[in-house]
Amino acid sequence: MQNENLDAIITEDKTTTTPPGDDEIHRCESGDLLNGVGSASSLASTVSSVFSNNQTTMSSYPGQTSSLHALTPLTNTDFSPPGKPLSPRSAKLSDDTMHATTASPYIAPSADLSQNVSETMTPVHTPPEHRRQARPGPGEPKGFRLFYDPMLDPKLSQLSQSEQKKPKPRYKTFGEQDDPSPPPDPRLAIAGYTSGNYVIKTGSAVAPKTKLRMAPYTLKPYAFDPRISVGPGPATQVVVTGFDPLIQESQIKALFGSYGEIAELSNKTDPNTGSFLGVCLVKYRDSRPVRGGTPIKAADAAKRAEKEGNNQRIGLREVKVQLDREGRKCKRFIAAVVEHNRKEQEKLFATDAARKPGTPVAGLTPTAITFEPPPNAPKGPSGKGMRPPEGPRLASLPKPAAHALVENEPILDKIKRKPYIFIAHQYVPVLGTTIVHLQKRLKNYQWKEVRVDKLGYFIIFEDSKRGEDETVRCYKECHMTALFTYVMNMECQQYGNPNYERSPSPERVLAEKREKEEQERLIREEEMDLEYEKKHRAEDLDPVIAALEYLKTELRDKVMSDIKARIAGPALFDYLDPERHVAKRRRLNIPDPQSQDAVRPTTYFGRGDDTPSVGTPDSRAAGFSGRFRKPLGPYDHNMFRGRRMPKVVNAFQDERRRKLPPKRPVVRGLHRQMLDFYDDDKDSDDEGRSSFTRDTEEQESRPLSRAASTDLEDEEPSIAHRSKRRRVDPGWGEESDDEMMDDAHARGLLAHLIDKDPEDMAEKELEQVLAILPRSSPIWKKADRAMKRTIKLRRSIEEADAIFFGVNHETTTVDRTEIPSVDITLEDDELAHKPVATTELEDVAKATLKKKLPKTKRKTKKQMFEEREALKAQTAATSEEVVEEEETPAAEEAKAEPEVFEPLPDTHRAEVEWGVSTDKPRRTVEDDLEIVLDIDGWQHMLKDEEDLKFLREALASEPASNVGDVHLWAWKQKQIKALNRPGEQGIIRSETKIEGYYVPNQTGCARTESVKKILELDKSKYLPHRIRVQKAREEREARAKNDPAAAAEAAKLATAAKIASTTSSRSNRANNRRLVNDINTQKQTMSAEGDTIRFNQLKKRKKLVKFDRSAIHNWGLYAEENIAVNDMIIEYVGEKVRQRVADLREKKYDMQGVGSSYLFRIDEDTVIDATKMGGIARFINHSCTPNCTAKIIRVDGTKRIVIYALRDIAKNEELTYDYKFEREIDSTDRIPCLCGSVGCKGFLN
Amino acid sequence: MQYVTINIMEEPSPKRRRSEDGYEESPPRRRQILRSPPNASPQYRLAERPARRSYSRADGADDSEDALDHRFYRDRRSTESPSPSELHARRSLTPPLPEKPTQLRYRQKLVLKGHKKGISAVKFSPDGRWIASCSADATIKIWDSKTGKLEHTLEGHLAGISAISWSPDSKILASGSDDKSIRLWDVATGQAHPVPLLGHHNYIYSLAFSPKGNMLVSGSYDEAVFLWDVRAAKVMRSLPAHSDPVGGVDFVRDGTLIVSCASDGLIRVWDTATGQCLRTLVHEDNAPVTSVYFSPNGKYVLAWTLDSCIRLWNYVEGKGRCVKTYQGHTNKKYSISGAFGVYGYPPYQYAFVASGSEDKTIVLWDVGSKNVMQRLEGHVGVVLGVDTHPIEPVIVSGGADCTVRIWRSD
Repeated sequence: MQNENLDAIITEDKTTTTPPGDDEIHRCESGDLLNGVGSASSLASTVSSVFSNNQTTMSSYPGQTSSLHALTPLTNTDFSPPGKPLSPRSAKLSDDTMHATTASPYIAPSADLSQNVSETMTPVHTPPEHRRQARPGPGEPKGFRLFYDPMLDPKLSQLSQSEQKKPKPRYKTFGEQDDPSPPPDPRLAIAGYTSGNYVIKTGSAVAPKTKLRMAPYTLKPYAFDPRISVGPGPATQVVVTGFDPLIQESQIKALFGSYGEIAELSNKTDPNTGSFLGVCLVKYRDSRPVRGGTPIKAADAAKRAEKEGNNQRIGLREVKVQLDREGRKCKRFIAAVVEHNRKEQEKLFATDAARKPGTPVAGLTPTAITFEPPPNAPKGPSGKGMRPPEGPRLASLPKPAAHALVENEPILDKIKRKPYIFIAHQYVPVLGTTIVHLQKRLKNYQWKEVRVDKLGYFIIFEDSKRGEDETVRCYKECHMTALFTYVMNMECQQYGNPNYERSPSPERVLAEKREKEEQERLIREEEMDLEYEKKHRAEDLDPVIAALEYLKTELRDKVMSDIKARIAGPALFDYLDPERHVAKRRRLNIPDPQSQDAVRPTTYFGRGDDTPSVGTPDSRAAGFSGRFRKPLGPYDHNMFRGRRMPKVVNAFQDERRRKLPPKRPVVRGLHRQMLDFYDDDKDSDDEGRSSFTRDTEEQESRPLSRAASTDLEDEEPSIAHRSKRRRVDPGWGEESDDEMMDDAHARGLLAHLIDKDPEDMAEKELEQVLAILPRSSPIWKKADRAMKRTIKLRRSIEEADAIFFGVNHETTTVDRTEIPSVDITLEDDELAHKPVATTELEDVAKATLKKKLPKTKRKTKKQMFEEREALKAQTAATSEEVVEEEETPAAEEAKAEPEVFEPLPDTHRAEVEWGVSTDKPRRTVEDDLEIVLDIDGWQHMLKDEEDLKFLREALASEPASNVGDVHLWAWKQKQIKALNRPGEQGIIRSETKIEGYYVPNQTGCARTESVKKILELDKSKYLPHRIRVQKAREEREARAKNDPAAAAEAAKLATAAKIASTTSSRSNRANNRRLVNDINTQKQTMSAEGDTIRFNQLKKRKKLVKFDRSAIHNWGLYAEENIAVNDMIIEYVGEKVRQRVADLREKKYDMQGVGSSYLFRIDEDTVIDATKMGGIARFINHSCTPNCTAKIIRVDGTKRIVIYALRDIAKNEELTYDYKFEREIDSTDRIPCLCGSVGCKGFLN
Repeated sequence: MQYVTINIMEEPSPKRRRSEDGYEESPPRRRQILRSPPNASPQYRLAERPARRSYSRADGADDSEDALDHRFYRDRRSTESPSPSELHARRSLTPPLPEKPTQLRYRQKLVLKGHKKGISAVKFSPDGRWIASCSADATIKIWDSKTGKLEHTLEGHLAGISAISWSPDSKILASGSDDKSIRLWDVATGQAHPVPLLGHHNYIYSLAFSPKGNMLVSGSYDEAVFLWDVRAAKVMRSLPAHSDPVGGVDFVRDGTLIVSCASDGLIRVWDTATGQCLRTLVHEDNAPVTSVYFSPNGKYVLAWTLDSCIRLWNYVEGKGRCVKTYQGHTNKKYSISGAFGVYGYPPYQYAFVASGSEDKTIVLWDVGSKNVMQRLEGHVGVVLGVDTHPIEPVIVSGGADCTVRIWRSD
């Protein structure tokens, strides 16, 4: 292994500059290299690239700044964080050569790393700790093996004690050689697996269908949905700042309108002055989808506005756009601007005040500059402050005093990067006057300035390439040349002050500062917002507050109910007692009430709540109107609670918090508990369970979402309806049918209970039932619900009683039982309740008995009949037997019927009298004459041998028909019956016959019948579309019969339409004539196209129509567009034939059986025949109240039939016109009109 | 091969194995039948048949489109190298063609009695084993086609039955009755499928199974043509077809087309997939059309009209052209149907048309020459239904005399 490694490194290092040995040492010592290589290999995703990368990393190593991550702490997903050991995934890349590179990321890189790092520019991270791996890394020894143990050495014991020098046990490590590296992760072979940049090759034929999800990706956050989301939604408004306050609002609108529909745009104004502030709040709204476009959500629009609108130009300035959910930012901006304005104002005042005395301030604040005249304005005599910047070599510059020219401050510091030449004061003495000489001396060079300080002269050149060159030139030519008597020993610095360290320009500093401030401000504001929200949340979420809130409401409820029950109720009743108002009544002339009972409040007042709202109009008056759901519905906690709580809880729910399941009604009113106490001593056995468990169970038994609605349903029945509800609820049977009979046991046990209304049972009983039933069964649920309902109901009743009895006890001392209020006595006590239940029980028992009886009977009957059948078959063999056929006339049977007197008692009726009748023979079996006498019918009818005998006698005259095997025949008959009456068995009371229209063919079936023409009249009996029309017409007729006025009106309408048509047709014709004239004149102008015009002139105006099956007749024409009244629709095109030809053809068509007539008469001697050739106008059907009319117009000298709209015709309406056939009142086959219109005459002819 | 000019009219084109269009057997095909497993779907054989039938040839060249039609088979034959190569060689040496028979010799073999009322249709099953006859007495009887033994009496309809159709696998029989229901029967057990196809508003008048057996087309007195999904027992498509009872419906051999005809004189060809009416064939006289069938090669339509004519229409060409008219029978009142058949022996096979007649006979025409080849007499009433055996030279007929008769050629 070692050798291999070495070899590998040697081979690699052949390309590098470092000697292999050196590298080897490094590798062994540090492992730093390995880390670097490791990260490089992880950068490259495949093995091959690892190889290629080796070189670079190796070569980078020998340099001192080797460590890769020390140099650039890469925080790419590809890389392990610097200093952390690599995940061992590249282990299998390690065949021999690879070991060199990937060998041991486990060797601690720490010390060396920190060494390396110390020299790098970026601060080093904390050296990573070497984590102990569970398994030793590759190359590390896995353990030690003892290969020499002195204790076991036999030789050693032989040696003398002195010789024993305690040889040490010797160990050998193992496991470094053949470390079984863990199997490689096959996913790593996929290019780009770790980075997620895996490209799925869709081009190849075997493109994978599934997407490989490599890198973990973030889930898309849920979109805000106002219905289900909690908390404020995403921002829908943006605040815009930075524009010119004087800009027009429309410009802003134009820009921001492009991102979405603007709901509101408020250009903020100064509250003091009303001037615009340059702050604008733009609120978006969800836009409706405009033609073809997709709707843009307000939030999206705002987001887009922020993203795209930022740094957009409005007017001349770039605007800043920020999302602003609550408008807080906007407020802040406004405040800032207002404050700023105020300050300026103050300053202005201050300067004004300062100016007034007449002492102009030299250094005006930049804001004050705005009050200055513009720079290019003509200067007045006092325009001194505004000197335009002038070049340094301006001649007009007044010469400063010579001594003043020697500057006190060192110039060097100010030079910065400007190229300059320095002449030290040692060579040329420092004198202000020398400057001018120097300038003159160097006039050939384009210097910029010549300055002097104590150190010497500085000839400063332009800060550019040219300046630099000039400096060099100047230096070359003037260095060590004479100036007066001095030698100018120059020092050339064409790159400016060598010691000058560039510092950022003040502007930039300023800008950066501003930016920083801005950012800080933003962060601060964000924090403020967060704080604000947190505060709100804390307020809203404080459980104490919530609990208090809740307690308050509960308490209020309780107090209110108490007041009502104890104080208001009695007082009111007392007050309303009619006897107290006798005098008033007398005074107001109001008759006395009929009886006291009428006045006495019924449980109606109890309103199902435990808080009767009698007479408190203010507090919960809504109870009667709005919340009053049922007169005696039990108190429903959920309904109550659901309304109040969410308001409190949902306002700002913390998204991070796990959503709690909907709150359980844990807190219950105290008065409830009290009630429970109260109940306990009354009927404790009924209230075996605490209210709490009951509630929870209810929650389980039905989904929460449905709870409210089912409650409503369940609570619907009032006391008054209870007696009605006592019938057997069909729901029980249905449900029990649906389910598998896993609760058969329970049902068998409780058969009598199941069909009983649970309300009628004692709760205890019901509970027992429930205990037996499995929970999953629907019956259980139902029963459970029912039980709860009863319990609730009872409780409410009791509460109501408590009120009223309380009242009664106070007002009257009448005994409970004597209270005439029916409702109360019925509902209240067990005494009234129990007897009902028991009688019910008996009934049920009886019913089951009844049910059972016939069942068993039927069975035995069947057996009997089978025997009889067998007997019959035997007798049939002897040929005497008569087997009744289906064709046996019913009359025959009727004849046989009276003979079926039975002296023997039949037991299958419950009310059978036993014993022989004493006075006269009475029919013991009432035969059901409605039963159809097929086999089942007969089997039902014939009860015993004697019946059969009688029947045989009755049918003796009938010839026996050969049916072959009687059993088979009977079975077949039943089979046929079963086929045609699916799902029915046994006796039937209606003949098995063909549903709907059926006229039997004489010969038996349609094909054996000769083909006949079917009259239209018959057709309308079975053609579905005609039946529909027919029905509509019949309906209408019936209505007309009932209401003749309407029919008359309709008829009037029809005639009116006709009149209108004639008038309009006149104008139409005029129009047409005009059109024709136009065409004619046009034709003359362009004679070549005359033909086409003639051809087209009618077609051009044609409307879009189609033909389809029609209810009126086979086919009809339908409008495919809306047609306005008097518009031409289509021309009736066909062969134009003479009258005689038409007559012949008509006959021929009649003979051929062409059902429809397509002959249209134009005039005396011309008929248009569209039968064989013609346009689709021939499909237009007749109607007695048509929507079109046919006109004969003259086009270009020929007569044409054109169909015009008589009224506005909607799309898809069938086009009709009046055929105006001659009336043939006596004709045998009049054509029935199926137009189905109001004024239908019934026939076409 | 240049001398082989063929008239396809006389040379029946490959046949679809449909119950109503059986044709005479030919020895090689018989062998084929023997080879194939008894319950093999006929569709497979259908695909082979053109190749098998490549020996057939005929004389007399008069119809161009038929020649064209035949060329197809000839080409196929040349590539496929038919078995009787020595025959081929001999033919090329000795051109004389055998005389085309001018007569057919069908003899009445069996008279099957049992129906109580007139028989409206008789059909061979596609595998040739069974004969189904339906009657106005609301029963269907299944007979063994060889022995004439009554196998089943299918009862269940409430009224007379006008139409029956075999499924292509010969296992299911569909029947359409006056009780407006279509029932499917399992022929093996004689039991009806419990769910009938309901939807028509009047008598079912005509029925046809699609070649795949998944669809059923029905024509009714209510002027509608329904396309049923057999498996779902539901109407797939309703074709707004006619303005009179729909007397005949049929599927083309590959099931892509449907033809329907009605008493209003129209024959319409529909696209099964889209329900579009592709052609309307009308004869001048507008005589009511009572039955219609596709020819076995699917290129023609044979239609019975109440002017005592049977017309063969080429519906492909132009707007549809009446190619042949067969006359010689009487058909003025009843809705009579018939079938295509084949006669002659394998190399020289020709097609004939068989039809019932109101004069109590069965008339057989040669397809090409329109000559009456034979009149089968025996019935004592109007012959309403005629069908030919798919393989053997057997004809079955049924009529108003309540008898089913089997005729066989020797």
